[in-house]
Amino acid sequence: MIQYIEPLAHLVNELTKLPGIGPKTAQRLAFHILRQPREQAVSLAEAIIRARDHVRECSVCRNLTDVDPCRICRDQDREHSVVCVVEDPQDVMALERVKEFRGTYHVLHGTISPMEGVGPDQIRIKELLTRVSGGKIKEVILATNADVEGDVTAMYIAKVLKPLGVKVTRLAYGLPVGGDLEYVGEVTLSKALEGRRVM
Amino acid sequence: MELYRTEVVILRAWDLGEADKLVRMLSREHGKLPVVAKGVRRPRSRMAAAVLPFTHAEVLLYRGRTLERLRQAQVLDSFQAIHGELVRLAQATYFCQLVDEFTEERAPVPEVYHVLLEALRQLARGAAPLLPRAFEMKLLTATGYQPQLDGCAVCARAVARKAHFSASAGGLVCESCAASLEDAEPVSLGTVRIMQRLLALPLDRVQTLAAARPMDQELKRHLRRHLLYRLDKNVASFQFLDMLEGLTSV
Repeated sequence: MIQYIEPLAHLVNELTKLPGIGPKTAQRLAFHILRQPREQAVSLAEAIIRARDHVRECSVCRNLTDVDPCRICRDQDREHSVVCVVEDPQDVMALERVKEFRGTYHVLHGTISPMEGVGPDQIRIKELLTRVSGGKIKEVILATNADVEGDVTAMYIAKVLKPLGVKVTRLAYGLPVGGDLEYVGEVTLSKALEGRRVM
Repeated sequence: MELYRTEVVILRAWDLGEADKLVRMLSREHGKLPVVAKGVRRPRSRMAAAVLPFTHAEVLLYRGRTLERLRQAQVLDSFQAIHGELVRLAQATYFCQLVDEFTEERAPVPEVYHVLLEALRQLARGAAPLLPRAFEMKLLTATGYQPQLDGCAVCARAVARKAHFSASAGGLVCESCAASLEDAEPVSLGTVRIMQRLLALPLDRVQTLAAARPMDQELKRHLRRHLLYRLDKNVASFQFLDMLEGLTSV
């Protein structure tokens, strides 16, 4: 069996630890890095270290940031009384792309998952409660995914927020824009009917 | 490759790659199956709703060597009433997880399928306080682990007074046998009677049964010990259910 030379084996091994990267892909990436000019490899290594050292959680919304509080939480033009609760930082990016929402966010970094044994204490729900208890928040929009974990998390948060008297809303379910009614699943269709509105 | 159609209940699903899911489903005829569902995480997927946990669906599968592939899926019942309420959602998760733990892949036990489906139907109708206990009892019976309740599980003599329950012995034990069993704990005769009623009563009649708070807790404790002894491992969804109970009883 042909063995990698040690530094190469080490690189392949480290790359295999990344999600979605198997031994074959790791090998391909490792050889690609070796073929690149040295500066390119150094720049990649530095980018990783810089991101690792400088990206942290915003002390207000728990989104990833390089300045604390993050740019969204500092922005005085935004509606600070409205908080949109999402599962991951990627969801903030998705909502920001819409350019419609002018409130702030709260990132949970996961969902409650009874099957995996992930309870409310393991995601950033306590931080949300502290934030809402401050009294300045008027509406909490629950924008977790429309799956079982997302629903459990949203309902749990709604339950614990209830005594605080804040308005709690959940994103609507319905037809995808540009979608053909005929091809929409039954459950989505029934949710869309349920959530219909007067025109 | 061979195509076949079957009715299933979705037990669990994991994300796979960019747009797929690995789905564990329970079929009446084929037992527990691992199925790759391609493209179901795309927003316009027609099959997305059919592979959500607890869904009762009719599916068309390709038989694979280790994994089946989902070709078509039709929702038969999505149990929407379960999805709209936190305690029911947690209970449904618990039912599916327990079935998952008590079944082997490709080893069909039709009775387990019926018990799960009926429990989900009852749950969608409304949360009966003793439904989880009744489900546990029916599942244990369907898998051959029914606790021994008529007479001592060790000496077979009738247990008229000072009854104990022992998970290792597999049910009720008399006072003298309990002395030699480390895990034997006293159990009230009222709780034993409820256990017997739960065994006899069909799941759709469980709403007619209720237990006072201390008895309900005693029943839960003994049945859980019995379940965990059979499984020899912890069940993650227990914790969340207990936490919710604490939250709602406040």
